[in-house]
Amino acid sequence: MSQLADILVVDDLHTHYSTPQGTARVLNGVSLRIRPGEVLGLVGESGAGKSVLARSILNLIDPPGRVVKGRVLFDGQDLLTCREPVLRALRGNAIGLIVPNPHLHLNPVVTIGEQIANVIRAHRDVSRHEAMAEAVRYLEKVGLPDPATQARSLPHELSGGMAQRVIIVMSLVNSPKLLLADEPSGGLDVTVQLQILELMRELVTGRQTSMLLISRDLGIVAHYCDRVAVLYAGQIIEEAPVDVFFAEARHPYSLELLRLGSPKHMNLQRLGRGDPALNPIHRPTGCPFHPRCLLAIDRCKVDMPETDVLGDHHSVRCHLARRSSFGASS
Amino acid sequence: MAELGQLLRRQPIRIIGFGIVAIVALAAIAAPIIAPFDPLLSDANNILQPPGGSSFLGRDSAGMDVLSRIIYGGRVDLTISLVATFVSSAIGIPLGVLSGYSRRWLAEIIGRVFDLMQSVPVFILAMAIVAVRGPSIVNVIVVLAVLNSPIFVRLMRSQTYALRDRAFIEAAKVAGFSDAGIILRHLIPNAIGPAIAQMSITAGYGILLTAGLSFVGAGVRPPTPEWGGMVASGAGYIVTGQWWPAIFPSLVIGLTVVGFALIGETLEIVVDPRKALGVAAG
Amino acid sequence: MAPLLSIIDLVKEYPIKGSKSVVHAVTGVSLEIERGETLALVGESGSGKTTTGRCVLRLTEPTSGSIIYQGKDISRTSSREFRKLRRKLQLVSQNPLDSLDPRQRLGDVIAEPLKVGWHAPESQLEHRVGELLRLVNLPAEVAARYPHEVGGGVQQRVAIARSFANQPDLVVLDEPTSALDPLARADVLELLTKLQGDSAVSFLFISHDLNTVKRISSRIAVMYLGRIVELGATNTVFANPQHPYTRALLNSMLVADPSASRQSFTLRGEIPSAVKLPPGCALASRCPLATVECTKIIPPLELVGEGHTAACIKLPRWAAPDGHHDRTPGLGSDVDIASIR
Repeated sequence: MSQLADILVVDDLHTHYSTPQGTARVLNGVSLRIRPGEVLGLVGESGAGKSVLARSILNLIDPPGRVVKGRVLFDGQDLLTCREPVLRALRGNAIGLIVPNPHLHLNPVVTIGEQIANVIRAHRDVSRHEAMAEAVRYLEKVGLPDPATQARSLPHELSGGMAQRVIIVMSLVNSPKLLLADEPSGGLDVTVQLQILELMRELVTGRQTSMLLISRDLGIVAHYCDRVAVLYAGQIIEEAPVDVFFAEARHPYSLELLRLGSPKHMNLQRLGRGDPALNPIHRPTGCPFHPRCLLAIDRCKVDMPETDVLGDHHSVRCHLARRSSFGASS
Repeated sequence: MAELGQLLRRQPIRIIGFGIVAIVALAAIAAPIIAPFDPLLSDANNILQPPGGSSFLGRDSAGMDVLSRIIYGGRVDLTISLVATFVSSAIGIPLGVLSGYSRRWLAEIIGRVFDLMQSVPVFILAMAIVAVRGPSIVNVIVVLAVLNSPIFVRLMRSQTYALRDRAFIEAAKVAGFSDAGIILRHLIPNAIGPAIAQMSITAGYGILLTAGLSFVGAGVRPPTPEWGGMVASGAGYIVTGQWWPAIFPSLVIGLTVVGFALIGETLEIVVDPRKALGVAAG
Repeated sequence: MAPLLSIIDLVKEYPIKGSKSVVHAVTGVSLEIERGETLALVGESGSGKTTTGRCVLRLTEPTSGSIIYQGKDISRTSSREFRKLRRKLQLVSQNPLDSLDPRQRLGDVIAEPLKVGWHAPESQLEHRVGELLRLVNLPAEVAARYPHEVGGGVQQRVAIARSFANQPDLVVLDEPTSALDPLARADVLELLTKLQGDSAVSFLFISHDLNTVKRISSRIAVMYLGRIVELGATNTVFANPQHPYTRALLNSMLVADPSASRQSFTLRGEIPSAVKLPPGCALASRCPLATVECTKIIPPLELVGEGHTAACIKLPRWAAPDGHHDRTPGLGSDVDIASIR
């Protein structure tokens, strides 16, 4: 593995939102690291804080939200204390962002070719003509059947899959060192999803681009990531290399995810329930998962579990992590 | 209702609107008890008496006590405005719901007709109608009711449009309810909120319209005490320094309208469909 | 045994304003739903699976075709007549919060179907609501809550309880777990599995999520661009998919197991528009096996195994051991169409 320093270090990040009902502690102490060339999968359900995390990393949190604590080190530089011009130079350039629902994020009145060209010219000193030419080259690379013509289309003329490819191009066009891919294939049909993921893999390998791949789908993580981190209620509750995770996950929530998504784990006993609903304003005391956890003991209701390193770059936050196997099929 | 209580506890200043209207209404109801003088009794010796002494707000050009006329005038203005609002919403709400729910062409036509009505300048139309039918309290009520119903039609129509394709409306259909059942049990309770807020605003506007009509002589005829009419008959004396017959009723008009508007604004917040907890989630 | 419900040659076209063209949502679907079975309709966007489900419930009016239930063609009955049947033909939709009246307590939501037409006394309603909550593994306290006060899993279970209020024969579930988070999804799936076992209710389970479908359905119909392209027992179809589209779909189903082998069977391009249907087989433009002949005829569903049909001319014929391979697949021989009209 590379000896170079981590490209991204998130250290004890806390992001809060104020609401009329109280303060929502959306991110409650998130820490993670990504090495150069590595793909880290971030899995979590809606409300866990995945998109808020992506925006916090880019220092894009606006009131009523606020990053109240923590550091985000990109290539050694703390993005949370950077001044705006520095951040703007990094976004769209050294750090790329892919978002779901492409049509919501493309300007409906500007052609896609121009939108890509604008991203290029925001960070590099090239002529409009050259930028457009590069845009067309990229559109061809991502498989658009008629790139020169389609570069002159407006976003609504494109299907979901094609629009997503445009977003991907915009994120990669300035050769970023780090890509934040927030559900890059979300909302797309499965057959198109596969195409998009394969495309991203192709474009990213061989360039030493690191990626934070945010997804709700363990299947995607299994095949496209090197490591996986599970986000629950604003915290990373388990983190491991992909093989280790799928073979030896320890957190009851992780195991529930596996039980649902993987035939190998289908016969695990139920370890968690779907209710009560998550409430970022009123977090439970102790372990955030305990209200739903079928294995919770008294300690779980009181003490927040610390990060327990189980070896093999595998860490868990659970009081029961060191117990022997959790109910295989009985 | 409960949400209203909650909001008032959190932002007590909102009670002002309710307070103003309550005071005016109570005064109007208790008029015979609290009005110092008979509003139609003219004291020829004390024409245009300034405020002070027995006549707290002074007397007008016919020698009638301004304060008493304001109090009794509240009966006229509030009655007209509230009855007209009630009638216009009673017409407008059902028609709005029907034209929004029905997918037949008749619904479109109803909608268009009312849209057309709304595009006519209200005041001109009011004057025209009253000119034809003659000035009286009943006619003013009719005019206001007719003029204000398009607002409710349009409001309920758009609310109904927004709701009719929602899954819970479809669920009521799947349960086996007829269209009437669906409308009454599920659609109206969820759609009516903004209409209730609108009613308060319409009531305030009704007072303005009534006052305005009387001001131009197309509304309630003197000597019936009515705020707009009082302003009309008193306006000419401002120039000569006798401001009280016109200014006091004007203030009351303004205050009452503001009171209704404040109530309307508070109600709008209460009925705002804020569904799930509005926390930015990841 | 006669099927509970038969769909015969269902077609649904949506007109496009200001144009003579139509959107071909469903182009000739024939299907039988047996009593007590869970039949899955699977496909991506534009497949027509949701439209088919909605046509069965007359939430969308079919353009042509028949739907036979209780010996009658219910696709043609008046809405008044059909309303009487509604208690037996139910729906659970995708977005649970949206399907519950935000102003009603959950107990009242469940009791609603019991109030159609006639009004049972309060105590009886309460009793029945209690029964239904127990049926869906929810505590009695839930009846007093409002929809937004509970989580998605609870909301959906309430919706399921509501659908069971009048003891339905068929419940159409339109992507019931797609909008739910994993643990809530597990709760609902567990519930549905339990309900399958206990009651004689048939489920028409519409979904694009193959993982879920595999767990819950006994038979599966794969749809593409308005047609059924493969139909058979779930285990059979998953283990031995025949139609190229099914194979591509299964291949794109990313199994949460990094060591799982991936066969590569991918489709080119994207789903064609449903307005201008391509000639012949709808998959021809994307299919790796396609030849010119594929654009000439629309392939019929033909037997490719026991109780297993697929619509592809590139597949080898299969002769049933008892020689009944000339029977129109998908329809029982019990249904005599002529006698129904």
